[in-house]
Amino acid sequence: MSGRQIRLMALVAFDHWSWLFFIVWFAAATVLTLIGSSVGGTVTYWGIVIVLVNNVMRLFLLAAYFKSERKPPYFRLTLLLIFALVASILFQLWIRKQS
Amino acid sequence: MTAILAYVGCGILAGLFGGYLGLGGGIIIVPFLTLAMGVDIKQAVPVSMAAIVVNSLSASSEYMKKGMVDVEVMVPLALAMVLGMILGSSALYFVPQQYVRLLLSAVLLYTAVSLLRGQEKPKEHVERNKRSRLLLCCLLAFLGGIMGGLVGVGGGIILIPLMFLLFGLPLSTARGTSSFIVGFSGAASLGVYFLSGLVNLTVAPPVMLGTVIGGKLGGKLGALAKPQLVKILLFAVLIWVSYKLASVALRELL
Repeated sequence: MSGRQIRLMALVAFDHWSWLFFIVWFAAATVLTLIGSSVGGTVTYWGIVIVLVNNVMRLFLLAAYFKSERKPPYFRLTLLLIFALVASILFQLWIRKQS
Repeated sequence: MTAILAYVGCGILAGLFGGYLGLGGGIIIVPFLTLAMGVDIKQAVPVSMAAIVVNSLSASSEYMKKGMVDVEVMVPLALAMVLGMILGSSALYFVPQQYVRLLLSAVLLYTAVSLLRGQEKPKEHVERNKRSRLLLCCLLAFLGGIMGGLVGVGGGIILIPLMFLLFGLPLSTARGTSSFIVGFSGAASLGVYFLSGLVNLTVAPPVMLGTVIGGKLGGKLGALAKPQLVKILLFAVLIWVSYKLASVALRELL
Protein backbone atom coordinates (compact mmCIF):
# COMPACT_ATOMS: atom_id res chain seq x y z
CA MET A 1 0.00 0.00 0.00
CA SER A 2 1.43 3.40 -0.98
CA GLY A 3 1.87 6.36 1.39
CA ARG A 4 -0.91 8.15 -0.48
CA GLN A 5 -3.34 5.28 0.16
CA ILE A 6 -2.33 5.04 3.82
CA ARG A 7 -3.09 8.74 4.36
CA LEU A 8 -6.47 8.42 2.63
CA MET A 9 -7.12 5.34 4.75
CA ALA A 10 -6.77 7.54 7.84
CA LEU A 11 -9.85 9.39 6.62
CA VAL A 12 -11.65 6.10 5.91
CA ALA A 13 -10.77 4.83 9.41
CA PHE A 14 -11.99 8.09 10.96
CA ASP A 15 -15.27 7.75 9.01
CA HIS A 16 -15.63 4.11 10.08
CA TRP A 17 -15.24 4.87 13.81
CA SER A 18 -17.50 7.93 13.46
CA TRP A 19 -20.11 5.72 11.81
CA LEU A 20 -20.03 3.22 14.70
CA PHE A 21 -20.21 6.08 17.18
CA PHE A 22 -23.24 7.64 15.44
CA ILE A 23 -25.07 4.29 15.31
CA VAL A 24 -24.73 3.92 19.09
CA TRP A 25 -25.44 7.61 19.77
CA PHE A 26 -28.59 7.89 17.66
CA ALA A 27 -29.84 4.44 18.73
CA ALA A 28 -29.58 5.69 22.34
CA ALA A 29 -31.33 8.94 21.36
CA THR A 30 -34.11 6.96 19.61
CA VAL A 31 -34.66 4.67 22.61
CA LEU A 32 -34.71 7.65 25.01
CA THR A 33 -37.23 9.43 22.74
CA LEU A 34 -39.32 6.26 22.56
CA ILE A 35 -39.56 5.91 26.35
CA GLY A 36 -40.37 9.61 26.62
CA SER A 37 -37.24 10.54 28.58
CA SER A 38 -36.44 14.24 28.70
CA VAL A 39 -32.75 13.39 28.17
CA GLY A 40 -33.57 12.25 24.59
CA GLY A 41 -33.65 15.82 23.27
CA THR A 42 -30.33 16.68 24.90
CA VAL A 43 -28.65 13.55 23.49
CA THR A 44 -29.94 14.41 19.99
CA TYR A 45 -28.84 18.04 20.40
CA TRP A 46 -25.25 17.02 21.21
CA GLY A 47 -25.38 14.33 18.50
CA ILE A 48 -26.03 17.01 15.88
CA VAL A 49 -23.25 19.19 17.32
CA ILE A 50 -20.87 16.21 17.00
CA VAL A 51 -22.08 15.59 13.40
CA LEU A 52 -21.21 19.18 12.47
CA VAL A 53 -17.82 19.07 14.21
CA ASN A 54 -17.17 15.70 12.55
CA ASN A 55 -17.62 17.31 9.11
CA VAL A 56 -15.06 19.99 9.89
CA MET A 57 -12.65 17.33 11.20
CA ARG A 58 -13.02 15.37 7.95
CA LEU A 59 -12.01 18.48 6.06
CA PHE A 60 -8.98 19.02 8.33
CA LEU A 61 -7.94 15.41 7.67
CA LEU A 62 -8.29 16.07 3.95
CA ALA A 63 -6.22 19.25 4.28
CA ALA A 64 -3.53 17.25 6.13
CA TYR A 65 -3.57 14.74 3.28
CA PHE A 66 -3.03 17.47 0.67
CA LYS A 67 -0.27 19.00 2.77
CA SER A 68 1.58 15.71 3.08
CA GLU A 69 1.13 15.12 -0.65
CA ARG A 70 2.67 18.58 -1.28
CA LYS A 71 -0.35 19.94 -3.11
CA PRO A 72 -0.54 23.50 -1.77
CA PRO A 73 -3.41 24.71 -4.05
CA TYR A 74 -5.68 21.90 -2.83
CA PHE A 75 -4.52 22.39 0.76
CA ARG A 76 -5.47 26.08 0.57
CA LEU A 77 -8.78 25.30 -1.18
CA THR A 78 -9.67 22.85 1.61
CA LEU A 79 -8.95 25.49 4.27
CA LEU A 80 -11.03 27.94 2.23
CA LEU A 81 -13.85 25.38 2.15
CA ILE A 82 -13.75 25.10 5.96
CA PHE A 83 -13.84 28.88 6.20
CA ALA A 84 -16.72 29.07 3.66
CA LEU A 85 -18.74 26.49 5.60
CA VAL A 86 -18.37 28.29 8.92
CA ALA A 87 -18.86 31.73 7.32
CA SER A 88 -21.97 30.55 5.43
CA ILE A 89 -23.58 29.33 8.66
CA LEU A 90 -22.89 32.63 10.41
CA PHE A 91 -23.95 34.69 7.37
CA GLN A 92 -27.24 32.85 6.94
CA LEU A 93 -27.95 33.14 10.65
CA TRP A 94 -27.38 36.89 10.37
CA ILE A 95 -29.77 37.07 7.38
CA ARG A 96 -32.42 35.11 9.30
CA LYS A 97 -32.11 37.47 12.25
CA GLN A 98 -32.46 40.51 9.96
CA SER A 99 -35.56 39.25 8.10
CA MET B 1 -43.74 3.14 18.72
CA THR B 2 -45.15 2.65 15.20
CA ALA B 3 -44.25 6.22 14.24
CA ILE B 4 -40.67 5.80 15.50
CA LEU B 5 -40.30 2.55 13.51
CA ALA B 6 -41.71 4.30 10.43
CA TYR B 7 -39.14 7.10 10.84
CA VAL B 8 -36.32 4.56 11.15
CA GLY B 9 -37.65 2.72 8.06
CA CYS B 10 -37.84 5.96 6.11
CA GLY B 11 -34.24 6.76 7.11
CA ILE B 12 -33.02 3.31 6.03
CA LEU B 13 -34.77 3.63 2.66
CA ALA B 14 -33.45 7.16 2.09
CA GLY B 15 -29.94 6.09 3.12
CA LEU B 16 -30.03 3.07 0.80
CA PHE B 17 -31.31 5.10 -2.13
CA GLY B 18 -29.08 8.13 -1.49
CA GLY B 19 -25.99 6.06 -0.72
CA TYR B 20 -26.51 3.88 -3.80
CA LEU B 21 -26.86 6.83 -6.18
CA GLY B 22 -24.52 9.30 -4.43
CA LEU B 23 -27.40 11.65 -3.59
CA GLY B 24 -28.45 13.01 -0.21
CA GLY B 25 -31.76 11.17 0.19
CA GLY B 26 -33.87 14.27 0.88
CA ILE B 27 -35.95 13.34 -2.16
CA ILE B 28 -37.42 10.48 -0.05
CA ILE B 29 -37.34 11.94 3.46
CA VAL B 30 -39.18 15.24 2.86
CA PRO B 31 -42.19 13.74 0.99
CA PHE B 32 -42.42 10.85 3.49
CA LEU B 33 -42.37 13.09 6.56
CA THR B 34 -44.81 15.64 5.13
CA LEU B 35 -47.24 13.40 3.22
CA ALA B 36 -47.19 10.13 5.18
CA MET B 37 -46.42 11.34 8.71
CA GLY B 38 -48.00 14.81 8.64
CA VAL B 39 -44.82 16.60 9.75
CA ASP B 40 -44.77 20.28 8.85
CA ILE B 41 -42.49 21.09 5.88
CA LYS B 42 -40.62 23.64 8.03
CA GLN B 43 -39.63 20.78 10.37
CA ALA B 44 -39.21 18.13 7.67
CA VAL B 45 -36.52 20.03 5.74
CA PRO B 46 -34.13 20.50 8.72
CA VAL B 47 -34.55 16.83 9.72
CA SER B 48 -33.84 15.85 6.11
CA MET B 49 -30.67 18.01 6.15
CA ALA B 50 -29.44 16.27 9.31
CA ALA B 51 -30.08 12.89 7.65
CA ILE B 52 -28.28 13.96 4.44
CA VAL B 53 -25.14 14.85 6.38
CA VAL B 54 -24.96 11.51 8.23
CA ASN B 55 -25.85 9.68 5.01
CA SER B 56 -22.88 11.30 3.30
CA LEU B 57 -20.62 10.27 6.17
CA SER B 58 -21.85 6.65 6.01
CA ALA B 59 -21.88 6.19 2.23
CA SER B 60 -18.84 8.20 1.14
CA SER B 61 -16.42 6.17 3.28
CA GLU B 62 -17.50 3.04 1.37
CA TYR B 63 -16.74 4.75 -1.96
CA MET B 64 -13.49 6.14 -0.55
CA LYS B 65 -12.43 2.65 0.60
CA LYS B 66 -12.80 1.40 -2.98
CA GLY B 67 -10.90 4.40 -4.41
CA MET B 68 -14.06 5.84 -5.96
CA VAL B 69 -13.68 9.41 -4.64
CA ASP B 70 -11.65 11.91 -6.64
CA VAL B 71 -10.48 14.23 -3.85
CA GLU B 72 -8.82 16.66 -6.26
CA VAL B 73 -12.11 17.22 -8.09
CA MET B 74 -14.13 17.13 -4.87
CA VAL B 75 -12.58 20.12 -3.07
CA PRO B 76 -12.97 22.81 -5.80
CA LEU B 77 -16.46 21.58 -6.71
CA ALA B 78 -17.58 21.50 -3.06
CA LEU B 79 -16.27 25.03 -2.59
CA ALA B 80 -18.05 26.29 -5.73
CA MET B 81 -21.27 24.54 -4.73
CA VAL B 82 -21.24 25.82 -1.13
CA LEU B 83 -20.55 29.40 -2.29
CA GLY B 84 -23.37 29.11 -4.87
CA MET B 85 -25.74 27.78 -2.24
CA ILE B 86 -24.92 30.65 0.13
CA LEU B 87 -25.67 33.16 -2.63
CA GLY B 88 -28.80 31.27 -3.71
CA SER B 89 -30.31 30.94 -0.27
CA SER B 90 -29.55 34.56 0.61
CA ALA B 91 -31.17 35.76 -2.64
CA LEU B 92 -34.28 33.72 -1.80
CA TYR B 93 -36.36 36.78 -1.03
CA PHE B 94 -35.34 38.81 -4.11
CA VAL B 95 -35.60 36.34 -7.00
CA PRO B 96 -38.93 35.00 -8.36
CA GLN B 97 -38.62 31.29 -7.59
CA GLN B 98 -41.13 30.15 -10.21
CA TYR B 99 -38.81 31.14 -13.08
CA VAL B 100 -35.77 29.56 -11.40
CA ARG B 101 -37.78 26.34 -10.92
CA LEU B 102 -38.73 26.32 -14.61
CA LEU B 103 -35.14 26.99 -15.66
CA LEU B 104 -33.75 24.28 -13.38
CA SER B 105 -36.45 21.88 -14.58
CA ALA B 106 -35.36 22.45 -18.20
CA VAL B 107 -31.68 22.07 -17.27
CA LEU B 108 -32.37 18.77 -15.47
CA LEU B 109 -34.41 17.48 -18.41
CA TYR B 110 -31.56 18.26 -20.80
CA THR B 111 -29.08 16.70 -18.35
CA ALA B 112 -31.18 13.53 -18.08
CA VAL B 113 -31.13 13.02 -21.85
CA SER B 114 -27.40 13.82 -22.05
CA LEU B 115 -26.71 11.39 -19.23
CA LEU B 116 -28.26 8.50 -21.16
CA ARG B 117 -26.16 9.34 -24.23
CA GLY B 118 -22.97 10.10 -22.26
CA GLN B 119 -20.04 7.69 -22.15
CA GLU B 120 -17.19 7.12 -19.72
CA LYS B 121 -13.92 8.44 -21.13
CA PRO B 122 -10.51 6.71 -21.06
CA LYS B 123 -8.26 7.67 -18.13
CA GLU B 124 -5.98 9.99 -20.15
CA HIS B 125 -9.03 11.88 -21.47
CA VAL B 126 -10.32 12.29 -17.90
CA GLU B 127 -6.97 13.67 -16.69
CA ARG B 128 -6.89 16.15 -19.60
CA ASN B 129 -10.52 17.17 -19.01
CA LYS B 130 -9.86 17.65 -15.29
CA ARG B 131 -7.18 20.21 -16.15
CA SER B 132 -8.91 21.97 -19.03
CA ARG B 133 -12.51 21.92 -17.80
CA LEU B 134 -12.11 22.38 -14.05
CA LEU B 135 -12.93 26.09 -14.13
CA LEU B 136 -15.98 25.54 -16.35
CA CYS B 137 -17.15 22.74 -14.08
CA CYS B 138 -16.67 24.93 -10.98
CA LEU B 139 -18.63 27.73 -12.65
CA LEU B 140 -21.48 25.33 -13.45
CA ALA B 141 -21.37 23.90 -9.91
CA PHE B 142 -21.55 27.48 -8.60
CA LEU B 143 -24.59 28.22 -10.83
CA GLY B 144 -26.10 24.87 -9.82
CA GLY B 145 -25.52 25.82 -6.19
CA ILE B 146 -27.30 29.15 -6.68
CA MET B 147 -30.31 27.46 -8.30
CA GLY B 148 -30.25 24.66 -5.70
CA GLY B 149 -30.13 27.20 -2.89
CA LEU B 150 -33.01 29.13 -4.42
CA VAL B 151 -35.37 26.20 -4.88
CA GLY B 152 -34.08 23.79 -2.19
CA VAL B 153 -32.69 21.07 -4.46
CA GLY B 154 -29.59 19.27 -3.17
CA GLY B 155 -26.21 19.20 -4.84
CA GLY B 156 -25.91 15.56 -5.90
CA ILE B 157 -28.47 15.73 -8.67
CA ILE B 158 -26.44 18.51 -10.32
CA LEU B 159 -22.92 17.31 -9.51
CA ILE B 160 -23.07 13.70 -10.70
CA PRO B 161 -24.09 14.48 -14.31
CA LEU B 162 -21.63 17.40 -14.31
CA MET B 163 -18.65 15.21 -13.38
CA PHE B 164 -19.76 12.39 -15.68
CA LEU B 165 -20.47 14.55 -18.73
CA LEU B 166 -17.76 17.22 -18.44
CA PHE B 167 -14.83 15.27 -17.02
CA GLY B 168 -15.86 11.84 -18.32
CA LEU B 169 -15.36 10.40 -14.83
CA PRO B 170 -16.78 6.90 -14.34
CA LEU B 171 -20.29 7.09 -12.84
CA SER B 172 -19.04 5.22 -9.76
CA THR B 173 -16.38 7.88 -9.08
CA ALA B 174 -18.84 10.69 -9.85
CA ARG B 175 -21.29 9.20 -7.32
CA GLY B 176 -18.61 8.64 -4.69
CA THR B 177 -17.30 12.19 -5.06
CA SER B 178 -20.83 13.62 -5.01
CA SER B 179 -21.67 11.57 -1.93
CA PHE B 180 -18.76 13.32 -0.17
CA ILE B 181 -19.73 16.82 -1.37
CA VAL B 182 -23.44 16.66 -0.39
CA GLY B 183 -22.33 16.15 3.22
CA PHE B 184 -20.47 19.45 3.24
CA SER B 185 -23.17 21.48 1.47
CA GLY B 186 -25.78 19.84 3.72
CA ALA B 187 -23.74 20.68 6.83
CA ALA B 188 -23.84 24.39 5.95
CA SER B 189 -27.66 24.32 5.84
CA LEU B 190 -27.94 22.03 8.87
CA GLY B 191 -25.80 24.43 10.90
CA VAL B 192 -28.19 27.30 10.18
CA TYR B 193 -31.35 25.28 10.95
CA PHE B 194 -29.77 23.84 14.08
CA LEU B 195 -28.55 27.16 15.49
CA SER B 196 -31.98 28.66 14.71
CA GLY B 197 -33.58 25.88 16.79
CA LEU B 198 -35.51 24.49 13.81
CA VAL B 199 -34.45 20.82 14.04
CA ASN B 200 -37.19 18.68 15.57
CA LEU B 201 -35.31 16.71 18.24
CA THR B 202 -38.01 14.03 18.46
CA VAL B 203 -38.24 13.18 14.75
CA ALA B 204 -34.53 13.62 13.97
CA PRO B 205 -32.97 10.71 15.99
CA PRO B 206 -34.91 7.80 14.42
CA VAL B 207 -34.55 9.24 10.91
CA MET B 208 -30.82 9.82 11.45
CA LEU B 209 -30.38 6.33 12.93
CA GLY B 210 -32.08 4.81 9.87
CA THR B 211 -30.00 6.91 7.49
CA VAL B 212 -26.72 5.97 9.20
CA ILE B 213 -27.59 2.27 8.69
CA GLY B 214 -29.09 2.67 5.19
CA GLY B 215 -26.29 4.95 3.98
CA LYS B 216 -23.62 2.36 4.79
CA LEU B 217 -25.57 -0.37 2.98
CA GLY B 218 -26.32 1.97 0.06
CA GLY B 219 -22.65 2.91 -0.22
CA LYS B 220 -21.58 -0.75 -0.14
CA LEU B 221 -24.12 -1.72 -2.83
CA GLY B 222 -23.49 1.44 -4.85
CA ALA B 223 -19.76 0.74 -5.04
CA LEU B 224 -20.61 -2.62 -6.67
CA ALA B 225 -23.50 -1.40 -8.86
CA LYS B 226 -23.66 -1.90 -12.61
CA PRO B 227 -23.16 1.47 -14.40
CA GLN B 228 -26.07 0.88 -16.79
CA LEU B 229 -28.54 0.33 -13.94
CA VAL B 230 -27.24 3.41 -12.12
CA LYS B 231 -27.59 5.46 -15.29
CA ILE B 232 -31.23 4.42 -15.70
CA LEU B 233 -32.02 5.14 -12.03
CA LEU B 234 -30.35 8.55 -12.20
CA PHE B 235 -32.24 9.30 -15.41
CA ALA B 236 -35.53 8.46 -13.65
CA VAL B 237 -34.64 10.66 -10.64
CA LEU B 238 -33.68 13.59 -12.88
CA ILE B 239 -36.93 13.31 -14.86
CA TRP B 240 -38.96 13.07 -11.63
CA VAL B 241 -37.33 16.14 -10.04
CA SER B 242 -37.63 18.06 -13.33
CA TYR B 243 -41.36 17.21 -13.50
CA LYS B 244 -41.94 18.18 -9.84
CA LEU B 245 -40.14 21.51 -10.27
CA ALA B 246 -42.06 22.33 -13.45
CA SER B 247 -45.44 21.35 -11.99
CA VAL B 248 -44.92 23.48 -8.85
CA ALA B 249 -43.73 26.45 -10.94
CA LEU B 250 -46.63 26.22 -13.40
CA ARG B 251 -49.15 25.89 -10.56
CA GLU B 252 -47.82 29.11 -9.04
CA LEU B 253 -47.67 30.94 -12.36
CA LEU B 254 -51.08 29.95 -13.78
